[in-house]
Amino acid sequence: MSIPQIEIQFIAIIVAVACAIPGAFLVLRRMAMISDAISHAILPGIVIGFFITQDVSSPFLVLMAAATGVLTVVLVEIINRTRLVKEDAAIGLVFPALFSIGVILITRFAGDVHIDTHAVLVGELAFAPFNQLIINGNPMGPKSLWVMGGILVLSLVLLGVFYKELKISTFDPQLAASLGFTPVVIHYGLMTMTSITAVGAFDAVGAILVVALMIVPPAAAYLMTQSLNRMLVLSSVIGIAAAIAGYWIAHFLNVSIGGSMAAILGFIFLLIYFFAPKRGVISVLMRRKQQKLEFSMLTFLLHLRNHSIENSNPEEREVSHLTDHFQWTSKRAKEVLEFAENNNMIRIDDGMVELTDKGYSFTDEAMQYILTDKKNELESMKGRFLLFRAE
Amino acid sequence: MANLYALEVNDLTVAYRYKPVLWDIDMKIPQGILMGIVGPNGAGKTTLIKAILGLVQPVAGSVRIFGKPYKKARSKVAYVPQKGSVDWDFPTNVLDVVLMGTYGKLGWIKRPGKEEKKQALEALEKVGMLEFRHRQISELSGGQQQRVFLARALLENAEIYFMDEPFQGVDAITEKAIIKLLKELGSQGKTVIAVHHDLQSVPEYFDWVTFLNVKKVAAGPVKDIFNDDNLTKTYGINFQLSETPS
Amino acid sequence: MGWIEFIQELFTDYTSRTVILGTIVLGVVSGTLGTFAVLRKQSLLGDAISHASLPGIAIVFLLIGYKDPLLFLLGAIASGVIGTLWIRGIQQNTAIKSDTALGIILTVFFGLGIVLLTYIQRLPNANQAGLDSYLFGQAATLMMKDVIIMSVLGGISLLIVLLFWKEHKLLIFDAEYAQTLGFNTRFLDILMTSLIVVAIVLGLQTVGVVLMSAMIIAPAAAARQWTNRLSVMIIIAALFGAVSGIAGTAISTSTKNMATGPVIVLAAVFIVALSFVFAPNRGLLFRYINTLKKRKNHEHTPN
Ligand SMILES: Nc1ncnc2c1ncn2[C@@H]1O[C@H](COP(=O)(O)OP(=O)(O)OP(=O)(O)O)[C@@H](O)[C@H]1O
Ligand SMILES: [Mg+2]
Repeated sequence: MSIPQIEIQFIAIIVAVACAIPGAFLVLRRMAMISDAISHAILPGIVIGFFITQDVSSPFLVLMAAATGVLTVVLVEIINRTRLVKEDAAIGLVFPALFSIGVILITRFAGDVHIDTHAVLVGELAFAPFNQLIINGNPMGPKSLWVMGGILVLSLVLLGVFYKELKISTFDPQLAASLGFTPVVIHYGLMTMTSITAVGAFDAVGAILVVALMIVPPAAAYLMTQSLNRMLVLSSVIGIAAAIAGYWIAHFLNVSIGGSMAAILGFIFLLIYFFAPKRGVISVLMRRKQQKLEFSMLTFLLHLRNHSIENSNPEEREVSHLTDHFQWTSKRAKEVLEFAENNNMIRIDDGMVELTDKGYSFTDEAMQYILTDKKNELESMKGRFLLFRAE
Repeated sequence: MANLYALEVNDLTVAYRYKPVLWDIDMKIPQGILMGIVGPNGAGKTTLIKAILGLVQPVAGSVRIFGKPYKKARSKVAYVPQKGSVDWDFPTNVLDVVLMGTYGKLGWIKRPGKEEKKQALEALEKVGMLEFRHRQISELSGGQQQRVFLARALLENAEIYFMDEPFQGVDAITEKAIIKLLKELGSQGKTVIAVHHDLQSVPEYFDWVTFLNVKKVAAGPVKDIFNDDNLTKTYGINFQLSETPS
Repeated sequence: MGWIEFIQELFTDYTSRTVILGTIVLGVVSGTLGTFAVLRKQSLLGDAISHASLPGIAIVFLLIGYKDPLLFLLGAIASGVIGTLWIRGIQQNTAIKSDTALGIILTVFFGLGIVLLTYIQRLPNANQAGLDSYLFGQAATLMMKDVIIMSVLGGISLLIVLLFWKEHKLLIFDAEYAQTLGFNTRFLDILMTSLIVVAIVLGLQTVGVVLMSAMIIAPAAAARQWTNRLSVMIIIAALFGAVSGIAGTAISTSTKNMATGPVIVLAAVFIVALSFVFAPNRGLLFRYINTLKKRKNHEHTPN
């Protein structure tokens, strides 16, 4: 590996982690599309900032563009408050407008601005090593490495300091308000950090990939874990993996690095989407099927209990009665019957079904479990039946 | 037809995912009565109506309306949803919403014509909203919205009406007007089943009542079953009718 | 060149007439179906769909090796539909929230599209030139053939809107009620979403995948302010769409090096801003004057 190659991957990794941190909170707070809006809307800020500073990595430019990002959020909120349109439409109006202004500025002054419209979308990571930070005549590594490194450190520091506040205001805004730290401050803090990160990463990965790095790794991590800590770590790991794999695939196919990173993220997400142990689609669908079966059995047992031998006509307990009474297909009825029999809940005698003692006590327990919310007493049922485990 | 039940529910069980909401509900409702469904929040009242109308899929059980499954009896059924279930900022006016009541009979593609419009105006007259026919729906009060939905249901010209909290957010005068209308429907032999929250007025408004809390606690004529015992069973707390605040 | 001459030329010159015709079709179709999207609160779904259509276009090019507008449209529709279905899958089967699902599909499909586009650019195939005008749109590349395809597809869409008018209205306003009346709401939902996909895809060549969503949202959002009737709203939205299309195209084609998408979008958003302020009844100015009046009346009435 050549030095520029190492530098590029290093930048990609730092960008991935710097994006994953605010991204996790954006995903948890249902603000994914806001980050999409921010990453587009910072463009005019960047272009105008560039006219003034003539340097894409200038801290002034970063601040100025980040201000545009926060402005977008404010603008969306103002439009929302007029109630002239719904929130999603407000977002969908503001960022295309600002982004269009940015694109037009670039095309109008194409000669003066060293960004082209293509790079705006997916960045030019491959060129990053050519823009070196020079101190006393010595090259000190790519400028964007320093900028993004700085942003990452800032992000980590803020995360460390405000961890508790962020966590509580994300999972329980009411509690946060009652504890005295205003959700508004946290909200705008997060928006500011998102904007700064988006601006810093813009040069390297462009407007759309920034969003991919902010949203996709945390979303994938969310399917793997429910702990915030693990989600932060895991999304960083996923981001880093996509950064390195994306770089090499782009290298061998000679295609856009940014695009390739996003595509790899998509692939990782696809795998996790299907195969995540508890919250992946396959596991969810299988669990739903099992829950449905258990639930059907319970319904059936309850029916038997209501029509137990003493007090009702025997036809209610005939096997054949299942299909027409519950409107079940014969296949389903057979499944339920077998499941109940295998669990020793029922006895089948000569086409007549009867609850066993175990069936009786199970039905009582289950009803109690469902009708009251006294979970502790019946905690043991969770072990035995999926039905009583929340997703 | 007279010996048929207006509504027959057999062993109806409904769950959202793993969470059981209605459990083994049985009921047989004769024709021509006004029935209130009462129960605490989250008892499954809305779900019961939705399951009857085929809007949610039951885990087990069956529903018959005038002896037929819902799909075959659809033209005999009218529905008044909870008024919070739609976006009242939708760009349309009162008359237009009421006309939606004719869409079912019209079927696909055909548009409402003069005749339908005449019926819609009559329905609006009945609910006392005629003068508001051109009003944009976002400019209606809660009670007026409710009446618009009622007029829309009247237009369906049904035999059995399902209403989800028709008195929600309605002032006392409108409430009286609506109940008068419902009684009128009852006297024409139509069946009305309404979710209701104000326990005080149950004996005055309804012939029958169903107590619901996941399981059916009781169902029958108000004079037979509307008592502290059933209320306590339904609401879980010790209930004394005389002490309920209005 | 004065404005009058410029406009004259627009309508007499064959090329610009083609382009203008194309943008009018685009504006009308996206205004109409955008009204449905906005009223169903699916504005941002449009953004996801338009980004998701990019790989479809690239894959079609990789398969056939030349530019074919109709096949491009079909590829874009296919990939937009796959994106939409995956979004639904995420929403229904996982705990991930709706807007995150949109963000995932939007960025991932777009990234894949960019990979394919940059791959195509490296191919020794001279036909690929101009394929990346699908990013920000280039109205000048519209040919009569494109316009005919757009008109036919757009015309069919509008016909379907007209045919199922009352069903669509009912579905948007009260889907559950529609179901109790016996309408197949799943079919209607698929039909309407497909129409929205078609409307988006029709605009890709002119406005581009990045900004097309704004053409779905802006005309409808502006039109909503001027009327309280769905039919009138759709007509106004179509009109606004066409006007922003013409204005944007005129400005961008008369300026060197100017992508069409951003200009059309700015024109459309400008109309939205005007509508927000000046529309009677709903507009901010009207509301402001109203509150002033009320306050005055208040002062005059003795307590
Ligand atoms: N779409 C849904 N998905 C999951 N759970 C649901 C859904 N709709 C309702 N529930 C749950 O089902 C239970 C019954 O809800 P339902 O709306 O039928 O109650 P209700 O008796 O009408 O209450 P209310 O008096 O508040 O209107 C509630 O616990 C509710 O949380
Ligand atoms: Mg309810």
